[in-house]
Amino acid sequence: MNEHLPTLSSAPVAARDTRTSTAAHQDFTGLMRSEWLKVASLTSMRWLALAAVGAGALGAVAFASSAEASTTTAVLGSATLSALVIGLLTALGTTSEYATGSIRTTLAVAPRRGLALLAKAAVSALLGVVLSVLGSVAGLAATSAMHPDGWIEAGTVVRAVVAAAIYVAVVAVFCLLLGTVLRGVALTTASVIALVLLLPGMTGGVRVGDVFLSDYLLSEAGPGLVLQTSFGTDAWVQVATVSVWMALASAAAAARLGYSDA
Amino acid sequence: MIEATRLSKRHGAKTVVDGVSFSVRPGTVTGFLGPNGAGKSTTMRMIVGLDRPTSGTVTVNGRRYVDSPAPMAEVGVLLDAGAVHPGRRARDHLRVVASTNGIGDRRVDEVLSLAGLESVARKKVGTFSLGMKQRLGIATALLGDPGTVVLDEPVNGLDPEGVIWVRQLCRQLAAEGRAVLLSSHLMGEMAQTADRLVVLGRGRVIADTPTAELLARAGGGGAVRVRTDRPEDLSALVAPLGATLVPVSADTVEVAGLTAEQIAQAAGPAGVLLYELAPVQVSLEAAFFHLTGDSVEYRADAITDTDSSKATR
Repeated sequence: MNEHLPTLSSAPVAARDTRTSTAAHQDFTGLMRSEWLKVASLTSMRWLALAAVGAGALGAVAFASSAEASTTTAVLGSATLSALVIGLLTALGTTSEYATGSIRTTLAVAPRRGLALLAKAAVSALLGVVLSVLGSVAGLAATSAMHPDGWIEAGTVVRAVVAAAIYVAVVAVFCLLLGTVLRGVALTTASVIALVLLLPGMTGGVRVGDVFLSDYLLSEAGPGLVLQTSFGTDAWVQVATVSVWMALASAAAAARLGYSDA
Repeated sequence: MIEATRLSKRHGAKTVVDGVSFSVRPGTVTGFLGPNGAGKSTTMRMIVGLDRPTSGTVTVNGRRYVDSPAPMAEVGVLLDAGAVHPGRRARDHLRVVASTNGIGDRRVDEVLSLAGLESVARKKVGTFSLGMKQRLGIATALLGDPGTVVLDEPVNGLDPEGVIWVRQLCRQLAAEGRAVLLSSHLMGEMAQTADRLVVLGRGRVIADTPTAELLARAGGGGAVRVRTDRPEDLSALVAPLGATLVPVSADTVEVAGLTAEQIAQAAGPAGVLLYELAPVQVSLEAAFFHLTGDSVEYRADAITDTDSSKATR
């Protein structure tokens, strides 16, 4: 036989090494690990994660420079920009799976699609929280240089940073769901930018009755929560608004993923 | 063990798979043959739940693949070697897939070496040739040490060495007691690899037989090729015994209706020397076209003179 041919030994070539391997099975932890590896193993995703932290820091510094600035508005600035970049990250993550066809590989090895989507959402939310906190903290650290008299008040800052982290996590999951529904890279990217950045400004002056339309946007109600100092009616309206947006997106994504052929 | 029962798939008005039933047994390589558009890939996609059957069922070891607690140990599947993210390194791609089923990095390295990809493990998949992507796809399919292996066109784009590797691998997987379902357009390759053939045409099963039987059935009734320097004398000897002779060349005839032994026994006493006496082997291509002749989905019509004259007018 030709020497160059890969020869098969008499040992079962395809079998796992049973001395070292544990029985394979599918669980949520494994699916989350896979989704995390997907993000961590792509250069583009690593850059976007870095950019999210950078944008968060930059947003804080930009909002802190105005006259009536407070740590809360600085964190709001951080949340707005890092939400945009993280939204792009999760949207690109999922739409690139459709663009490259690798979604078929994903769904072939993780055939319970609801669970697969939940794992994606969990990793997106975790990324949102971690990157948002990193961006806010970096931004606040930078702004303390602008306010040498020490403007950081621990209680306020922690509350704002936590609210911002939750908002960014929500946007991360929302954009993932949007990408799952729309599937196209360009369409989804444009939608994310419009939703997070443009729509609040465009609808800012539109009134329906005695309420502003923009109050019921995800990207207005969410950041609004960052500014709340007490949990009153306004805060509940904002929580309800965010919940409705998320519920709609989840239902649409679950239906799109669950009922269509991959 | 795969069992498909009256499996159908319709896309709108178009029926892609039409009431297909077949089984893929452990320890055998089953070949999936059929022209483009016959429904092979769609059937394979329904096995692993990527496509939802319009009607009918397909189970793996008695249950739906989707319900398996360890999908990758149940079925290892390669459907489309291109279904990978080009920006990911080969080893990372395997780790992403492996971790969905709790499979560790040690097994990832095992399949990399099994597929001969160690030297390119840290290269991005986007730089891979189709053949290397096929190897990566096969490595992915084997990650879970699956009892059933489904490979759609695995030798597409492989070099001759790779083709032989896939053949040996499939034989070995079957020898280890696994059920292997394999589709290929290389019918010569299929004849050497598959124990059993399921032939699809226009979404229906048009043959489901052992490979040898399919070849024999299309083999012109077991004709025997005979080479002799006296074909007329041979004809005079065997024709009365019920044989029909078809001359192939000046010194060769194909004799149908008699066995090789009967021909030799007739020719010997008369002193007619036979230089060759061989059963006529029909290629799988011929058997295939014999079966699928009227179930070809996409056919390029021969361009006739009338067409070209119309075009110039």
